[in-house]
Amino acid sequence: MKTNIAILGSATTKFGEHWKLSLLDLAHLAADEALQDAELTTEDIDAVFVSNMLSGRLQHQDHLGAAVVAELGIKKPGLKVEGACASGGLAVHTAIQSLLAGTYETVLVIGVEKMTDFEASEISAALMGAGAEEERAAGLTFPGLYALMAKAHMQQYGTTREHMANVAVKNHYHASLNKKAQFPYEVSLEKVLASAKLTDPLTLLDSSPITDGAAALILRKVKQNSPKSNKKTVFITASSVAMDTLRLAERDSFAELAATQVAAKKAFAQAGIEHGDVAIMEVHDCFTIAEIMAMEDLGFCKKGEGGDYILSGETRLGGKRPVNTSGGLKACGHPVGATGVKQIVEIRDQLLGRGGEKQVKGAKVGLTQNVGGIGATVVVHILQL
Amino acid sequence: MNNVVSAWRKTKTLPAELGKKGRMLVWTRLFIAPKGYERDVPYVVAIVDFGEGDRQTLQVVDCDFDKLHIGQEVITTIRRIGTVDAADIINYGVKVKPL
Amino acid sequence: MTGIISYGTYVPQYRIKISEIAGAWQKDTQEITSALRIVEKSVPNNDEDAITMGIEAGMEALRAGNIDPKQIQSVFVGSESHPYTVNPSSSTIAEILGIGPDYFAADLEFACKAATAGVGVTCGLLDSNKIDYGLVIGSDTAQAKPSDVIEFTAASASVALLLGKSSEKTIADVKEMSSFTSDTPDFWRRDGSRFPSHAGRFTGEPAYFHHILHEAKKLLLESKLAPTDFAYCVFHMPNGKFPQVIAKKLGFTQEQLKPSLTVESIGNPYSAAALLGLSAVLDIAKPKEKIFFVSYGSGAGSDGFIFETTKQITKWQKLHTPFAKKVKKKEYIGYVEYLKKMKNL
Repeated sequence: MKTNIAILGSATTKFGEHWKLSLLDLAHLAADEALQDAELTTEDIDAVFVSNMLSGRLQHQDHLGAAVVAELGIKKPGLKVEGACASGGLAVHTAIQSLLAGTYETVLVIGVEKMTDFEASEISAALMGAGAEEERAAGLTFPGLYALMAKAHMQQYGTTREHMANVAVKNHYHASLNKKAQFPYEVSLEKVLASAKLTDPLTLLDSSPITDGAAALILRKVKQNSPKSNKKTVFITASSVAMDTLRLAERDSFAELAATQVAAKKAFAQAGIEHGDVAIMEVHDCFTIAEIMAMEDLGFCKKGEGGDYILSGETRLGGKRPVNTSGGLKACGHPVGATGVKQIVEIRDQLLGRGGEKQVKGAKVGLTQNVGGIGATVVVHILQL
Repeated sequence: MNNVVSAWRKTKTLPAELGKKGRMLVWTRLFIAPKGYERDVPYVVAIVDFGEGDRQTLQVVDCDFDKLHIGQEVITTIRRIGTVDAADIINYGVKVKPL
Repeated sequence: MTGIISYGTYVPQYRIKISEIAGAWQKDTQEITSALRIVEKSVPNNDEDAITMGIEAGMEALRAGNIDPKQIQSVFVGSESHPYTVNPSSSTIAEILGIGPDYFAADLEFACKAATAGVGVTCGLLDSNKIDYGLVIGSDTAQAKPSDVIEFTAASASVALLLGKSSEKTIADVKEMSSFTSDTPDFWRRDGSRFPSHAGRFTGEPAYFHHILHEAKKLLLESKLAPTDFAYCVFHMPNGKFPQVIAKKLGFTQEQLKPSLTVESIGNPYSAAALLGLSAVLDIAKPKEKIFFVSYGSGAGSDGFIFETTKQITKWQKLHTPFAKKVKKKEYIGYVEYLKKMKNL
């Protein structure tokens, strides 16, 4: 069913190292800006959905819904939605369901993560909370899990290190045009290839960073046939979730995210659009190989051809269908709980024509793909002007 | 603090894993470790197929990384898992080594 | 008759050359190797300990002996490097091997003779008909303080002996056993100390030689046998030189001793040392051959045994990978890697 959820306001904080701001400070900043954008006040909000992965482990805050509504002074229901790196997409999905059910009229979704207070080894272990017990015991990390998938992709399809590095080069170029990006500068192919090895075959510059940040959306269900206002409005016309095994080892193929394929199929059916309609995308490039697989699994190129597809330039700003104009997780940053919300903020900005230097001209339909862990959860949203 | 009860439960599963042979499907080597595995760096992790639907993600030890290949035959070995504090219970678990 | 039904051995695959250790401290390799008669030693990986190595040897012994683990009624693990001060290695090893829960278990510590003490206790249980099968494991990841002279020899390995009294199953019977013990602290490690201490030359004459000599003479006297009656002799091997000296002193030839000198290829794995020498001899012995065996543990004592192989040994040897073949699988490491693997860095 095509949903008619309007995005009334949206905002993100700057992504990066916020030494002076706490988890709640970040959430507050993004919420205030989104309310301003929507020209609403906290009085207008019926419920708050907080997307976050690590507050329990890192901030010892296991009652985050209550903490956030108290911080904002909203005396309405507040709840946390967690789905690892797909927490954001999942929170938006949950918020939409509450609107469709008619429980609430206007809701605030806040995605937030505060990560840079901690050592990389601590964060790396914490993020493995998104994996399976057996994978943690093996000492695997997310760079390790995605390296296994990259190795499988290389074995099966001949994907190269250059294919992967090219994704980082493109997304850094996009980030260089985004003031809110953690790394607003370009990197060369040579630099990516020569950067420090995290695993075989992924390097530091194949990988998304550790980031602080928050993003917020205000959503409302709009009645059918409501009179058109002069203001341009972006609608979320599809919100789909698909799941896969938690353990990589159990899957038929290690070179694809089957949940992305399922979620995309459902989303296209819901929105009633085709691949050709999509003008812009924000996909989950936690590692460069992930964007290659996303292109394939979302159905924008044949399986195994993701590397060449990106190399063709079609997904670079100025190309036919730019991908990750924000800089993606790779260069804009990856505050885990905020990422899925931020993707939607970026697409809305683009559709409204307020994308700044990285503006894609005339885009009317956009898609987001948000991945939890190694694709045990995948959330796809379609946005339309 | 490492949890003694979960370590105890884990040990009960080990007799069934003893001396199992399998083949490596895909593997990687890690140069940056999560907390508790820093002393193992660099280390190899593989998805191993033991047949009959039994596939596990395990560390590969006592191996020469450059000689590993698809279908590499391996055998399970019980080893210490990670490094714990001196006051903690030691974790034992399954790893594999090339045959 | 009580005897050995099966055995298993495990040597970790890493080796460090004595020249590599000597180089790290700018010592004269030639002088050290001619004094200690050893060229390299085994090093465990950093995830190995007396328990994990004991499991490897124990598994081999149980599989080769073709005994259902549930039939094992006693498990003794001798080590000076038990991973815990309190919490037994024996129950962990046994559980993972599928033994139990109806068995008697204990960890033993008596420096390098901890495991042969276990053999003595197990023989007692078997001879008194309390048990039918017992497992004894000697397993050590021997630590040495960097730059200490024992750094050249302290090594890692494990041996498991499956003992029983079924005469159709034993490959070597225990013909004689006795012990010799005195309070002689030549080598020790206090609770909480990471590395052992030793008394230098005091570990020689009044310790190793005194105890082995007295135990060996007693064994010969009690058995009314002479060195010439034995096909092989095995002594504890703190280095390559001491067993040669004691063999000569007792009237054994180099030919009788040579097959047991596992120290030359892997060093001294403490409580596994003498039993590893015995296993190397059993790898090649023919039926009805006598083996003279005396261990030594600092503190100090010697356990002496006379074994005689049975006709079952020939068939058994065909199914078993001998020590000589096992030690060929090895990888050399440098001194820094050695320190890492020994968790000394």
